[in-house]
Amino acid sequence: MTCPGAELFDLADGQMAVARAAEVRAHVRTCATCQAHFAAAQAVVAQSPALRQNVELELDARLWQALAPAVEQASARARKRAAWRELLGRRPLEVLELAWPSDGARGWRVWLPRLAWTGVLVAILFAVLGPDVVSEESGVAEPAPTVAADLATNTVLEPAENAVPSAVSPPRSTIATTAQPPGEGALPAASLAVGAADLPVVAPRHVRGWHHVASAAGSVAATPGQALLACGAVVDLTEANATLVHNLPADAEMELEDGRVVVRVPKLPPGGKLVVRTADATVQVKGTAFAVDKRNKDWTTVEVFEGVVQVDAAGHGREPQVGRETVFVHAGESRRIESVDAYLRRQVAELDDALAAGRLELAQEKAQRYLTVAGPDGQDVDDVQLRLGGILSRTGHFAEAARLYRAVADGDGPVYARQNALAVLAVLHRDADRTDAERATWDEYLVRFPDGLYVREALVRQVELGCGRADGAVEQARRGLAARFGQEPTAAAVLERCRPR
Amino acid sequence: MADASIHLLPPELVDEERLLEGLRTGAPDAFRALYRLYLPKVASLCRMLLRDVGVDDAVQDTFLRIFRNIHNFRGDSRLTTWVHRIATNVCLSELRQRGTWRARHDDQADEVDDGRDVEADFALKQSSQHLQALLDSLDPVKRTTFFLHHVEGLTAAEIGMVLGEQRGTVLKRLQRTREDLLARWPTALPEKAGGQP
Repeated sequence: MTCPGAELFDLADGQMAVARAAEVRAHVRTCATCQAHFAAAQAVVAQSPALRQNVELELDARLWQALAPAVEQASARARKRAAWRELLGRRPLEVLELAWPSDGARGWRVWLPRLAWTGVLVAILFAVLGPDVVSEESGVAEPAPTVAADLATNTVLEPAENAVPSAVSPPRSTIATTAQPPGEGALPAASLAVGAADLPVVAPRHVRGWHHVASAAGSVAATPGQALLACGAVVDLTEANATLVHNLPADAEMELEDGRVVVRVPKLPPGGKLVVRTADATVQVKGTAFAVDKRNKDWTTVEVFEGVVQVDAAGHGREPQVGRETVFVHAGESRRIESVDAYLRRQVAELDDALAAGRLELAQEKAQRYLTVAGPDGQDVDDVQLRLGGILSRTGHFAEAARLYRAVADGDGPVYARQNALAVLAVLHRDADRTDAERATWDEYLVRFPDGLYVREALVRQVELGCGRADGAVEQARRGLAARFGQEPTAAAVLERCRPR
Repeated sequence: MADASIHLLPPELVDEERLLEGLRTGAPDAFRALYRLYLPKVASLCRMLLRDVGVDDAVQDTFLRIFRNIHNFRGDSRLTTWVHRIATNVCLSELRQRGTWRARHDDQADEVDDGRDVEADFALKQSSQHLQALLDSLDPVKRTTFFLHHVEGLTAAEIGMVLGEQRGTVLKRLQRTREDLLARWPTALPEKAGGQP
């Protein structure tokens, strides 16, 4: 017979018909290649279930928190829909009769009023149920906004013409853009030589292909895609969204929001400089040709064509990081400067990888580095602290872990993080056989978060810990568990097992 | 670290009919149960397809769609098929938007093929990480097919419902995916196995 190839997977996972399986087995015994393939197929089949990954406590709670409004909305809609179903379901024939009386008549004089009745009923249903119900799509077609999409929606920049001058920001001129194509009221090509002191802030907007400089006195200079600064530097803004902060003969500074600028700077006078800032880096030159690229939100790339450029990482006052110190980029080189956010995200990702690989020491180092750089206001501080607590508990440092969990639980972080901290603290006590401490922690949890994510677990443990006892607290937990989760098999089993004697 | 089992309901303990009835009548506990029941499946699928980038958003997006459209679920398929269909659509759509459909996986394929020696391969093959790395080198649709069949236990017909394809198409892809895996599995290479039929 010919080698069965991928059919060996069916043999490996027991889905092959018996007769065929016997035939294939006989072949495998005599074929070295198929023996190797069969071993591989068995390994793949055996390892596949491990691809199902456990969901972290943090992810569970965080997502549930984020989904809460959608759940509330869906639940309310379902209740409304169920109420209407009940209402209409009782007398469907009467409703139909109202619209379509069966009097046996024929012809448009009869059908027209019936259609009108139907229209009225549909309009009433639409008005009562609301467009959110009637217009909903079936199946999976409706795109739902993600966190990222929401952020993007909420951070769309104002068009330049709609921007409001800021009363608090330092005055700036702006290399802004217009949506008008060249030729339609286009400004003549001219040098850019506006003083910065008396200019308002105008929010920039990225539109490729046409740029002008807006000032209080009106638009004064532009070329399609290029600007000539007072110091003589030529800036190519074709793909950029940038703001000019200073524009003096010996001192020019611009901020690059996103996109890419290419700058050619003539030799500047002594003390003179041109600076391009992004969220991640400050690029300073005296006379050279270079490009600053901020098209990726996670880093800035500096490419130097002539001369030398000094690049300082943004984020002053933070822990020095590899690749974040001041560097000089020479002609023919390019350097990528990671944003602080990207750096922190990388720390978290590497922390997770280290945890997954069981490298607790490395994981601890990553967690501590994150906490040092992010400071107390970091976006994932609570999550990282919880992970660090987990690492500490796994390395036998229970007291430190408990202190960390307690700090998160009593902190002012998000509700889910505080809930998580109390829940894992209770589990820590459970694992250390500190029954009283565990009971007290679940007590505290129920008082602080009576509708929290882990109420079921708290009640189950309260009942389990009070198994055989009949005091008031245990009885109260029993009643709570029975009332709220009595229908769930696990809860019912606990209630049955720990029935008061 | 906390044991994940303390907050996840075992799937076999949830009755699908009762769950659906609860969802139809708007019982908040039913939504919570649905979330807990399917979070591991959805998160695993999203992580398998997207790796570490955008997984949380994809999972959240999936559940938003589920909650918004649960009233449209008619029971023509198993609930798990419907949920997987939504999650797959979300992830594949995300991959298309990223424009990394092929490029990233081609890169990783190179890493898998070129970056390891035989000894390391032998050690790694014992772990699911190696399998994961091999799967990462495959086309996302092939990966989805493999995952739904070998990890989630869906039949070819059910995978066809998830991906909107015929059963035969799914079977052919599953076959090709298995062939790819065998070809990339270190000890399965003919020269290492040392024999021909």
